Amino acid sequence: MKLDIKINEYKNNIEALQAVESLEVYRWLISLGEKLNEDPLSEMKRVEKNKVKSCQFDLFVDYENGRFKAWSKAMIAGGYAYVLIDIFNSLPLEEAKKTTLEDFKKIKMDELLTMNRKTGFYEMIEIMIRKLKNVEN
Amino acid sequence: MLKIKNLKADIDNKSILNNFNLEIKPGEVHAIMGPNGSGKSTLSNILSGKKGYDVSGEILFENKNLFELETEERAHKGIFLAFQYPLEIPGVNTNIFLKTSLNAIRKARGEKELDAIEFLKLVKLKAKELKFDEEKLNRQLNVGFSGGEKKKNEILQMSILNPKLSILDETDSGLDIDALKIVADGVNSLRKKDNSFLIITHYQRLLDYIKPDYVHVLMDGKIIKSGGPELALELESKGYENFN
Amino acid sequence: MEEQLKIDFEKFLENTNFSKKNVEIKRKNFNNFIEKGFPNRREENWKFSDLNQIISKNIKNLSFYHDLSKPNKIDQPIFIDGLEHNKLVFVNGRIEKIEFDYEEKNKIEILDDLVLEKPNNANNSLLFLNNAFVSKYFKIIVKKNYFLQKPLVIYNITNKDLVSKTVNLKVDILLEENSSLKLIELSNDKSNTNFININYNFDIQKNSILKNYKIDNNSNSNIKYCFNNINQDTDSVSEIFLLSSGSKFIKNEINCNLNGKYASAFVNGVFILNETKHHEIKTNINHIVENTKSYQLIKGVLEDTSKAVYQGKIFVDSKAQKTDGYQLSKAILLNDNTEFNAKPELEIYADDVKCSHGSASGSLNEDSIFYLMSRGLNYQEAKKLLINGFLLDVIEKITDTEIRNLIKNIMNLKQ
Repeated sequence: MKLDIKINEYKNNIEALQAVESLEVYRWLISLGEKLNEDPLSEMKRVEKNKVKSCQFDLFVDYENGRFKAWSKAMIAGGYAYVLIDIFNSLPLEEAKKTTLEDFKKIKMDELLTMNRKTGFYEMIEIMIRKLKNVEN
Repeated sequence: MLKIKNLKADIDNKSILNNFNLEIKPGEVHAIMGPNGSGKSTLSNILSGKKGYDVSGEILFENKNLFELETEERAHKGIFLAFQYPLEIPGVNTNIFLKTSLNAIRKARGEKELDAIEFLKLVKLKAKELKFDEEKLNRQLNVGFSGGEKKKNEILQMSILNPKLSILDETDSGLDIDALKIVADGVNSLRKKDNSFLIITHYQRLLDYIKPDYVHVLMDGKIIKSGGPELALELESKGYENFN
Repeated sequence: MEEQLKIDFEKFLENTNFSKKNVEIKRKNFNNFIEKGFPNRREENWKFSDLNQIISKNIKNLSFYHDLSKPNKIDQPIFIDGLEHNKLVFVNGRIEKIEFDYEEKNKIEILDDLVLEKPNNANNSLLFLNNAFVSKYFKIIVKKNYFLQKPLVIYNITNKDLVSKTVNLKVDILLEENSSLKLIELSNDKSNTNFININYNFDIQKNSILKNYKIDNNSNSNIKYCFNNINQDTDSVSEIFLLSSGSKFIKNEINCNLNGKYASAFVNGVFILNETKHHEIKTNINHIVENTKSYQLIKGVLEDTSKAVYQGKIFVDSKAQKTDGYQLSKAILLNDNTEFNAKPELEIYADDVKCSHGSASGSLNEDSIFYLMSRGLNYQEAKKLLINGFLLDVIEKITDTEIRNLIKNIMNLKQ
């Protein structure tokens, strides 16, 4: 299953970076946050219904032209947003629709994030799953 | 690639190199052999931009005046020096240092910088090719490494940074046969038609494994004889004393 | 200045309503301060930091009283991002916020209107000043067997309203048996040329752990003194880390009394100084009973015309057999105009002890810089890498991972 492959890939990346030095993972997340904003969600889509409310800073996600896009002001939130976007976009639509919160617990992103950020992370996943329900096959 | 004309180098009013000439073209491997005190280290120091010498003459690297470039700019342009005595630098994480170094050079060349994961993948690949223990890279730079491991680390850096001109300053000193073979294999695997190597050495042994295109004998600050690989063997049987 | 002191003291007494006994105590402390004045270099403990001269050179018309009745606004961005924590916020010496949202309510007791009951015994003129001018002080009690879930951050903020003033602050912290507290002190100075005088007292009871991180990081022109008295009981641990970098002058004095067997103290600090900054760390570790241990590691990196001082005294009582007392300080001087003074003192009366002290200072290794530059880093980048590498082992002594990463981040952003 493609999801397993992608999740393992990220889990391995995180472990490899932690082995180098404890701060490397955060620097990597920040660099992913910058990458996210290179191809971000369009400005007019940055509205209430696309907002991840439990994120302290602005974080928006929506499904545009067959793929997910996001935008965030905060770099670490942008980092995990990039990871989620990358995973969902890499899956065939059928498989993406079948994902659940549980699947994402395997990445071990939990251990890296503070309580607030963790809530934002899981809320974003829920929003993305919800949005997929409205997409035609 | 490299043209040295009438290079003269003094330190503390003592003349080390005098009337030194050398030309290296892309794809070539040159070896410079000389006894102690002949100016071998001085040559590599001057090429990498170390301060403290009185120099005159001309050095052109890819047709640009090398003296106009600072040490880090020479690295950006593609010059790499594998040190004879690589330093231990406590508190500096090897992996992170290599990434910083590679990205500084890529940025100067207008290339995209690698992110942490892309870099780790590159390092893993190169470390495997060189049979270098990847785990060591998470430690402080050269701290606790044996002499051989430090030299291998230099070659690993070389393979990651992909330089145009690599200068190996007595890389073989302090190495046992196995380490020597690994280092030589590493260097040989990097040989391409658009990069070059300058191997500075005292002993002929290394040249059994890295076959040079040209061998030069350095004595009293200048090259007294140049030839093919067989010159190294001639030198070994005659010795430096009797060579003149 | 004495005139101003007297005027301000009377103004201060008028604006508070102390009992007769308290007023007497305040006056006694005040008179003691008048008699001694600000410490100067003729006093042994202050020979490397003449505070009297520093204050008169840097602060014009220092006054000692300011009105604490009006509330101050707190700038949101001041709070540490990415670390869930409890908060105590002081602005210009006035308590503005108390937030212990992460903790169980009945496990932490906060008393915010304590008045000094007993006269002070120590012969420290700055403590006299503090006792004279602090009206109400703070006490935090962590109840038996309670480990705080999240760190407590004490924010010490000053804003532009404060100029040429003295701020006196007193905080007592009691860790009851078997409890644990991680305390971060963060200063944020948007004010100039003031004298800030802080007095902490920690009582660490049996088996308790205090981790205290003092961060002075933002450049500011204030003159500061922070006195920390730590009383440790059996099996207790204190771990202190100091990032001494921002203020024009700051002296952190740590007086640690290892009163109970198997108590241990770890004091680690870094000086990162530039311009004309002058910082001092002074420690007195008193090994009073047997089997106690203390370890100190202080490192400094000095630039421009800055000056750092480390005075470390280890006292071992005759009863304190099997004491371990270690101390090491190192400094990198980036040019000839900087100064690092290290004065170790060992006063040992027991014979079965292991104590040592050492100090070294020098400049950046030019060969190391050349090596890094030959790999494409410019001089500034190479310097930064070497300096961070030099300071790393002190940072690694911080046992709490989250806080260690926080401090690494703060330091990386600096240069």
